[in-house]
Parts: sequence; C-alpha cells; structure tokens
Amino acid sequence: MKQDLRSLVEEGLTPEEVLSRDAPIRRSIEIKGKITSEVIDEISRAKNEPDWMRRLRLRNLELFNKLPAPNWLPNWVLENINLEEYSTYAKPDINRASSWDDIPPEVRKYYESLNIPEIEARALMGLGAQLDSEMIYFNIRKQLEEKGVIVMPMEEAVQKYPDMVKQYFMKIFPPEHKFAALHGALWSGGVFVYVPPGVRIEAPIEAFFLISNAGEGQFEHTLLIADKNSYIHFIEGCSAPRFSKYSFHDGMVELYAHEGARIRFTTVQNWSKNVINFNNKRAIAERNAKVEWVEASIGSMASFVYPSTILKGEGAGTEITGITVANGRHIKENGAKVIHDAPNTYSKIVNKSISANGGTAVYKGVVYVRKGAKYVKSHVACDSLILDEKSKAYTIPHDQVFEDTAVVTHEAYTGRINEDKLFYLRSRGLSEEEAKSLIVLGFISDVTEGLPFEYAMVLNRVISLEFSKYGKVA
Amino acid sequence: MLIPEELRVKARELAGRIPYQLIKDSPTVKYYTQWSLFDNCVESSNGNSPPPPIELNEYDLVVHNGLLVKGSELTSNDAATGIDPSESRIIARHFVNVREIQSLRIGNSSDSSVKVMMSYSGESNEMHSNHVIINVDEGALANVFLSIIGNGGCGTNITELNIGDGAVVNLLVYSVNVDPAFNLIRVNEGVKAMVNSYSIIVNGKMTHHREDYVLQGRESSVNVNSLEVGSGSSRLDYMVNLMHYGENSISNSITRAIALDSATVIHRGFGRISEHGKWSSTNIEGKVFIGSSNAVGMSVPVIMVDTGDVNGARHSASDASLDEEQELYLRMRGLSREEAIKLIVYDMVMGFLDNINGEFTSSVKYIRSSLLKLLRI
Repeated sequence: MKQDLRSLVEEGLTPEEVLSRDAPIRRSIEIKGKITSEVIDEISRAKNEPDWMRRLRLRNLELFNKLPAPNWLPNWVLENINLEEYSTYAKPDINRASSWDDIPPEVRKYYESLNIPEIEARALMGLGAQLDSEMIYFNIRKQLEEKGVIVMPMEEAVQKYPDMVKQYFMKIFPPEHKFAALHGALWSGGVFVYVPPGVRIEAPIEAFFLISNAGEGQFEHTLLIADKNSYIHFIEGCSAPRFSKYSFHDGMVELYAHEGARIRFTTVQNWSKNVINFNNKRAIAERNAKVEWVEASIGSMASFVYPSTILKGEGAGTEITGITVANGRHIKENGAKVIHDAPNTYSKIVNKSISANGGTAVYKGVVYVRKGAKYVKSHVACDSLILDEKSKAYTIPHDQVFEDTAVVTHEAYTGRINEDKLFYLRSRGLSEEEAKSLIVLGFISDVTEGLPFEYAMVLNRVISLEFSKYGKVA
Repeated sequence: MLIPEELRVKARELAGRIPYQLIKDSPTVKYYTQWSLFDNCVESSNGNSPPPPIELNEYDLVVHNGLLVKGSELTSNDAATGIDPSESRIIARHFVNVREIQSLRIGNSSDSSVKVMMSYSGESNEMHSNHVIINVDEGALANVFLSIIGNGGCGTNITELNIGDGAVVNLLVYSVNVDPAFNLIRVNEGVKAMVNSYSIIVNGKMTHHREDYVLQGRESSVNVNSLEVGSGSSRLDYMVNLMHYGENSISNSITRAIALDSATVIHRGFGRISEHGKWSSTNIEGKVFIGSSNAVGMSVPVIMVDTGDVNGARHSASDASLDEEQELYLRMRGLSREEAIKLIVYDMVMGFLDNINGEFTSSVKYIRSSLLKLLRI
C-alpha cells in the first residue's frame, strides 16, 4: 500500500528513499529460489521449447555450478548478487500486442514517460518492448517483411527457425565465465533478427528492456545475423524505475556479420541505481565485414560490459565506442576486446568516461593480434574526466601483438575539469551543475555526433539530468 | 646481516600456500610471467661457487650467490627490510632462500658514487638469492650503478633504495639473465627527493624485472628511462610501477623495447595516483619494436587515479615493426630488411646509451661493449 508523501517525509526518509517505489506488475508466472534443473525444466515448459533448447539450458546450468565466481569482480558486488532472492523468470500477465492501445495503461505509462511510442513512430523500422522476462510489444514495419527480413522475439525464432538459431546461439559467445553460463541456463526474451543478402535497413530497429519490480533478474538474448553485403542498425535501450532492493541484469548479444555486411549496435543503458548489470556482447565479422558497437553506460549501481569483436575474415573491421558515466558511489566498467584473427583487419576503440560524486569509471580492454594476421592496424584512445576529489578513473589496456607487420597504438589521458572553463561558464550566469553538465557534454561530443539524432538528443538529455540537481534522484 | 629467523619461518609457511599472483593478467594471455618455470627452481643448499669472471675492482660491493664477496667495509647491520614476504610466492621463496641482506648507507660526502654487483651462477635449476638495501641520507647526491648478472641458475634479486628528504639519486641498472630471474628494485622517496633512473634489461629464459618507485614524500619526483632487449627465445616481463602518495609528486617513464629472433618482450607501465597524492602527475610511454617475424611484443600501460585533484595522468604505447614506407626507403638504398632492422636496433641501443647521465661514463662503456656482444651487432 502506498504511503502518502507527507507521512514518508515525516519518517525522515531521504529523497531517494521517498521516490523508491515498487509498483508491481501482475504476473502470470513467477519463478524464484534456488536454481535447479527442475526450475530450468519449468522455464522451458512455460515457453514450450524444443528439447534441444532445454538440454542446452541444462548443460549451461551444470557449467554455472562448476565455474568459480570471477575473482576480478569487487567483493561487494559478488555479495549483492544473491540469485536465490531474485525472480529468475517473471511473465507479466499481459498478452503480447502490436499496438500501444492494447497495452494496459499502468504498463503503457512507463514507455510513454520515456517517449518510446513517439520515437517508434518517427524513427524506427521496428520495436520490441520487453517487460521483465517476456516481450509484451512487438511491431515491425511491413517493408521489412517484404524484403525478407526476419525480426521476431527470440522464443519465436527458436520454434520457427531452429536450424538457424542452433547454428549461432551461444556459439558466438560460449559460456566462458560463470555469468555467461547462468545466462545460458535462464535466458528469456530478446530479439532474433536475420537480414538477407544485399538488404539494407536504413532506419534502426530497437529493443527496449524494462525491469518493473525490485528483486528481478532479467536475462534477455539478442541474436542478429547480417547476411552478405547487408546493413542493419539495431538499438538497445534499458531502463528501470528506482527500487528499494537490488535487481540483476545478465543479458547477451551475439552478432554475426557475413562477408561484406555491416552491423551497427547501439546501447543506451540507463538502469536505476539498484541494478547490477552484466551484458555479454560479442560479434564475429567475416571478410570485409564491419561491426560498430556504441555503448553508452549511464545508469546502474555496478556495470560490467565489454563489447568484443572477433575479426575472422580478411579486411574485416570494427569500431567500439564507449561512453561511461559513474555519478555517485557506483562502479562502471565499460571496456572493449578485439581479436585480430585475419590479415588486413583494423580496429578503432574510443572510450570516454566521466566520474563524479565518488564514482569509479574503469576501462578494461584487450587488442590481440594473432600470428599470421598480417598488416593489422589498431588504435585505442581512452579519456577520463574526474569531476571531484572523491571520484576515480582506471584505464587498464592490454596490447598483445604476435605478428610483426601489425601496428597497434594506444593513448590515454585522465584529468579534471579545467578550472578556467568552469569560471568562464559560471561568470556567464550558469550554476555549477549546469556548467559541469555543459563541459561533460562537450567532452563526449565527438562520440555522440555519430549517433542517430533522436538518440544523441536522448543521451545528451540524460547526461544533463544526471549532473543536474535531479541527478541524485533520477 | 643475517635474515631474522622469524622472517624466514613466516616466508617458508607462505611459500607453500600463497600464489605467485592472485588474479590472471588478461583473458587472452593469462600470465605475462610464466611462473611455472620458477616452480622448477630449487632453493640452493650451497652458495659456494666462484663469482663471475668480472673485474672485481670495478665494483664497490659484490654479492654473489647470496654471499658478500667484496665491500664488507661498506656494509652495516642496522637496516631492516621493508618488503613483506606475503606479497607473492616468489618473494616468500626469496626470503626462504636468501642467506644475508647487505645494507649500505650513502651519506652527504663528496664521493657518493657506488657500484654494486649482484650476480649468481650454478646449475640451471638451482635458485640463488641476493638482497641489498641502500639508504641515501637526506640532502645527499648519489650515483648508484647496479649490475644484476645471471650466468646460469635461477635468480631472485631484491634491491631496496630508501632516499631521504631532498636527496638526489642517479640510478643506472644493467641486468642480463640466462635462466629464470626475478628482479625487484623498490625505491622509496622522501619529501622533495628526486630520482633519475636508467634501466637496461637484457634476455633471460623468463625474466620478471620489476621497478617500484614509491613517491611517499610531497614534491618527490622520478624520471625513468628504460631499454628492454630480448633476443633468442628470451621472455622478458618488465614492469615499472609509479605510485604517488605524496602531494605534488611527478613521475615520468619512457620505455623502449626491442624483440628479436623469437623473443617475447612485454612492457607494463603502471601509474597510480592515490587520494593522498593530490595534484600529482604521471606519464608513461612505451614503444615496442618487433624486429622479426617470430618475435612478440606486448604493452600494458595502466593508469589508476583515485582523486579528481590531479594534474594529469597520461600514457601512450605502440607495438610495431618497420613500417612499409621505412622499409621501402631503406631497400632503395641497398639495405635488406634484416640489415635495416639491425641498423634500427643499433640506433635505438646507442641512442639510449648516449643519453645516460655523464656520471656513469665508465659503466656505460662496459655496458656498450657487453650489449654489442650479446646482440651480435
């Protein structure tokens, strides 16, 4: 039962505590507790999955139980991942719709507050909206079907295109660590996309993920296959209202770019500050293909995301752009990994981070050039801005070159806001928060320039709010 | 000075229990140092083997296989080690194995140059350990040449350099190894202390050479220039750690590395500005030249800044060989690729040696002829 605002204030709660709210969405199925093979069977039955997928889940569960917890994670993060307390599967009591009018108003308001329906109408070729563990909205423009593009919820693809899914599902990102194996056991939701040869999808397709309740685990899986010489831009958005308990996100994105294809994958992550976020992301690029990752990490309490590309074919390339904001006592790791596995491949990694109010921003990256990958070119640039004496920034890159014809370079700078710039803006009537926000936007401007206009606006707005007086309660 | 028994007991207990390192280095190359090669090294029971064929008169202090061979008049018993055996298994094993710690003091006198040789030799799996502590008085000006030479057998060599307030130390380090070697040089700097360091590290089946510069005092500073050369099937893991705990401290590290034949050469630079090191700045640069098709180069330039009150932290790194334009230019002048690479290596080595502080002229002369012989240039 909701308390009124007056009584909450009289209890002496902080603004964050006042605004922490659980507005639970009714669920038709909820699975919680120790993760056993019976739980996996129950999830698989609820989804009416073929047996091969059920067995894949069980193999991953076995691996999850055997693998040790990653010892590179801070202890306090591991202590707060208490899987038995989370809902590992929560199906909202809503039928999937292809029109916003068919979505119940109490659910639709979340998306409307984020302008999702409006952005869909103006700028997208398709949108999937996931609430907790299932897609509740899915709408794709007819032009895509006419071109032979397949876009559907991941569960549907498992049923309708099993051979194609089997060929790629968790083959691009096998369960190399404990949380990848956990994802493999519990995955639910997400989007499957196949783009036929030569097809170019000029406007983006988006998947938007929302966690509605505290104590929720979300494990969506996105698999995107771009056939020869095709092009797709896919956008992933993440958000959650502010909760009073932790939630856990352990998603996976697998991309496969066939010869000559181009994939651009943009993520704007703005989870609330109670979400622990893992996102396992990997792409494989074949001959002359190109994969671009844009990872904007604004929200969450702790975030560990390392978009990776394996450059498998000659002439393949990748660009990985990261924007990380650690505002408040949070840790945000936003890195990049590139494996140069073929000759004449190239990579460019640009990472910009801002830490403030005790936040810690971390870049961890690897550029690996194997022997025989001749004439590789790679460049990494990392810049970090620290806004106050309590905040931290760490840059930890690894360049591993086993081929003498490669050229691999790296540069990084960590510093604070120039006092002269701050004084200049303050003297023109801006408050300290407004001045800092403007400087931060300038710091990341060369990165946001490449985003679709609507998303650059959204990102700039989110960052401005983050550093305004509203940032503490955003 | 003999090792205190309680330290040795503690080290023995730790050596059987703690790992060489807690966390893997990266998801792709798990360990830059192949610690398994040190597992084959056995603590030696007999340190009595002849010192290397060097001119003992060239050095003020000579320690060979853990025992003092020359310079007893310079040493004292009053220094205690600041190294904790629990840092890592290799350090614990060092304290189990080392017989004596030699310590000397450099005061404010006019003749403040000291040449120290730490050497070891023996069967390929015998471990020998040397440990020297050098204390530099406040306000002193000191030139220290430290030569670490391995002629067979595993070596662990630890040097502690404690620099008093306002002192200035010019440090030249020359390390040549054959079998697995662990070298640790830890420099603690007081208020307004300054260190100009030149390090040359050459070869070794597995050489882990680490230099820690701890800028404890405010306004302390360090300039490190390093040359790392691997030939044959050597593997070198060179780490420079610049740790700022004093306000307004400054550090600068520039490393040039050369990987030839089928050597693996790794450069790791670590600049950390703690929350106490406000208004400090750090700069790390590394360039690895990959001189043959079977050589491997790796760079790990790390910055960790724990406060926003900082003057700046920068790093840059590159790993590359001769680029196509350079190669074409030299071929047009009649040079083959191999000759061109030799020329570049010669230029990098000589250029580095020419820039070493004039206080070390005679030592540089020795290093020059030693290096040219080792690299067959």
